[in-house]
Amino acid sequence: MAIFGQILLWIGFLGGSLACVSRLENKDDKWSTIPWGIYAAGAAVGIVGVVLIRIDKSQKSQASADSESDFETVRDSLQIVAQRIVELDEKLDEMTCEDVLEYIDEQCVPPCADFADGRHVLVNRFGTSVFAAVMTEFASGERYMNRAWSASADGYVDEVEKSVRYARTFFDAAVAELTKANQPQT
Amino acid sequence: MRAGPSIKHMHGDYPEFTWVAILVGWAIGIVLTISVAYASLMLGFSIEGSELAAILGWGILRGVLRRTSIVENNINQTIASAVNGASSGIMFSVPALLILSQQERFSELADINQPLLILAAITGCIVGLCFVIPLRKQMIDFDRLAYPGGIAVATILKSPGAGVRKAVLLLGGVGIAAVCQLCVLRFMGSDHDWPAGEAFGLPPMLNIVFYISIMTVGVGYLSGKGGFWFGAGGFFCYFVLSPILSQFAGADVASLTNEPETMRGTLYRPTGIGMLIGAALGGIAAALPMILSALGSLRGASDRSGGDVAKKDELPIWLLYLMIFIGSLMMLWIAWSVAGGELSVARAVLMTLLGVGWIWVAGVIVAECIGRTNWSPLSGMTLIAVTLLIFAIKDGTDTITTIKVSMIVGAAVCLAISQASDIMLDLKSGYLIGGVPRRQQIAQFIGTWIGPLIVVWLMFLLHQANIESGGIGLGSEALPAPQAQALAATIEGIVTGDVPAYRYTAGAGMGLLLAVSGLGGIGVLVGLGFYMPFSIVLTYTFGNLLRVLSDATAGKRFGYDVGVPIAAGLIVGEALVNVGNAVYQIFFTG
Repeated sequence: MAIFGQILLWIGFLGGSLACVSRLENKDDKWSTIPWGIYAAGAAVGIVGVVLIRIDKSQKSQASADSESDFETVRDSLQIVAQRIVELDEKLDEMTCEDVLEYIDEQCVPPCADFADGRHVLVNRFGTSVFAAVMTEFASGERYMNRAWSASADGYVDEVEKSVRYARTFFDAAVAELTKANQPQT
Repeated sequence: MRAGPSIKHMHGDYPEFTWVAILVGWAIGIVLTISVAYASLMLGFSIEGSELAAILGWGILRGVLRRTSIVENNINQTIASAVNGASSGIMFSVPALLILSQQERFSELADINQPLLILAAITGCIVGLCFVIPLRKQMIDFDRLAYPGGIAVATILKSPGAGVRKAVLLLGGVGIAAVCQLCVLRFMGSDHDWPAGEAFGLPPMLNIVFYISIMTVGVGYLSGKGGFWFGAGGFFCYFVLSPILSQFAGADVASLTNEPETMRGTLYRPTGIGMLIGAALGGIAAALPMILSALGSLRGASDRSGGDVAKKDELPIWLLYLMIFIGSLMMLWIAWSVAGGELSVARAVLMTLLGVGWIWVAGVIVAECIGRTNWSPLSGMTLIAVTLLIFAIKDGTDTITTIKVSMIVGAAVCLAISQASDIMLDLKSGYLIGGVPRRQQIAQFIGTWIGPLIVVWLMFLLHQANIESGGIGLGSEALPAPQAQALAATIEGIVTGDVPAYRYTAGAGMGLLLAVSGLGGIGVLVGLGFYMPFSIVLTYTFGNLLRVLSDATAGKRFGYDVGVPIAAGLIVGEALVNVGNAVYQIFFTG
């Protein structure tokens, strides 16, 4: 259904776009420059395509089994980055600023990128409000992780400790939001 | 923490929002603004200030003042680029009034109330910022738009800690871009287009012309596959629509397909402007639940896990709403005052509502376009603003008042849109280096009011000096102001009713269709593909393809570690050469 919807959408868009650019301006009656009948037909076909795409999307998000593995990848990435930030916080006393830079680059950035790449699974599965709640915490966590990196590069050790602590709080909150949303409804 | 071999430990607060950052930001911003405003007036193109401000800040803060804070330099570049945001906004719009005034029937337009113009510009800047700041969460935290320029700035800011390898890659990119751009300027002059299609004997309608700019390749690389639909919009015009029209359209349009630039100016560009508007409105409607969630999380920041930290990270939303309200009242008063009693209060209210409403819509469009492609349809959005404003009042007053009020409020809208895109780019850099958004937002307000003062002063100074030396002022051979000349010609057309509103409307319907399709963001990107010259689209798409290929063959990690610093260097290198070239052209050539 999605493919058929896509085909109709693009046929409709092609028809409508052709109507938009098929004539030079009619100086006597400018609004008659556009062949509105053809334009409306194109738009109507496109709208049918959009409806089919949306129905298909809605059916897929209800039958969420097909996105289970994607969801697990996203959830695992978030848990990995949260866990690694906890480890960073606990090992901070023994680390140098150079170690922190390397740890964030090597251990934390890749799972953050994986989570961010797959984040739209959360919209399909839980809706926009859960997505917003998780992403708000995740983004704050990632920003404080980036701040810890900058402070390490500049040697401000108190700020490194503070930023890692904040990042830990936010990433933990993101995991908690996701866990809460994923619990079976009673 | 243990002491390491190379990074010296420091204790205490991490310098971020400091007096040094503010003063250096103002100083760099003023120098940049004068240079860029003058270049905009003489050459008709603008230069993005953020990268230059970051590099200059790097040199002054680290090299001269021996300060060592990445986030402090970020505040410096935020302030400097906020000051510079007024350069092109004013120089592309307001001189149109002075150019029109050279015609006898419009001579009264020369009588511009300068304090009101400055006040309108500053009000526009503030309203634009207040509208777009609450969208940070949506566009940067949730949608994670690329903002290639923001990545380039962050790469510069982070270079002290990124290690020798990344610094070498960044500098390598700068060097490659500098050499390439010098070659382009030496061998191609100001025309950067290479007609590859013509060289290979391909039909002219396909418009295979490459914009020779390695910066554009870098921007495409940083956008990655997220910018694909931008290219698709351009290809759709010249590879699908033009061939069909050449066969099935009337003789006039069929013959026009062999003149792709005329085709773009007459048909594709107005349709693209309409698409951008329709897609933006549809996108706002489609993303409304997410926008509301983002606003909700801003309002409920103190209830979140981080409590006080989260609350202190953002400016309070009530303050932004209050500033929009006060700004709107100010705009109303300015419109009424500029008209000098020639405009009814009802018309002034209508004009203000349209102007302020358009700031929000156009701010969203431009912030999204910059976020996905690094290109801003600023001139198209300003054109729509001026058109809307003229239509709102033209039946209620005379032509002179109509043009004067519309242009001054239109300039305010133009600056608002310009500031909206600038702050989003800066906030992206801030996100990547861990800056506190609230501090950056305050920094932007601290910088934004200075630009209009400087640029308006500079504009009238140059105009007057030229007249006193026997010239006609702005628009003369010595001060060509090419963008403002184009706007002046367009305004004349609008006043006489020569506006392709029918094509804007039809394009808006198509943009709306794509926006509600559920394929995130494609309406705006396809519309931008219609709007922009295809030469830029082609070169940009080449950058997209390079990223896709490098991700597929060398892995995403290679892209982040190697590709991004080189691409950022390409942007910086070409920008530096362009500034040098502008200085050379202004001071060393006839």
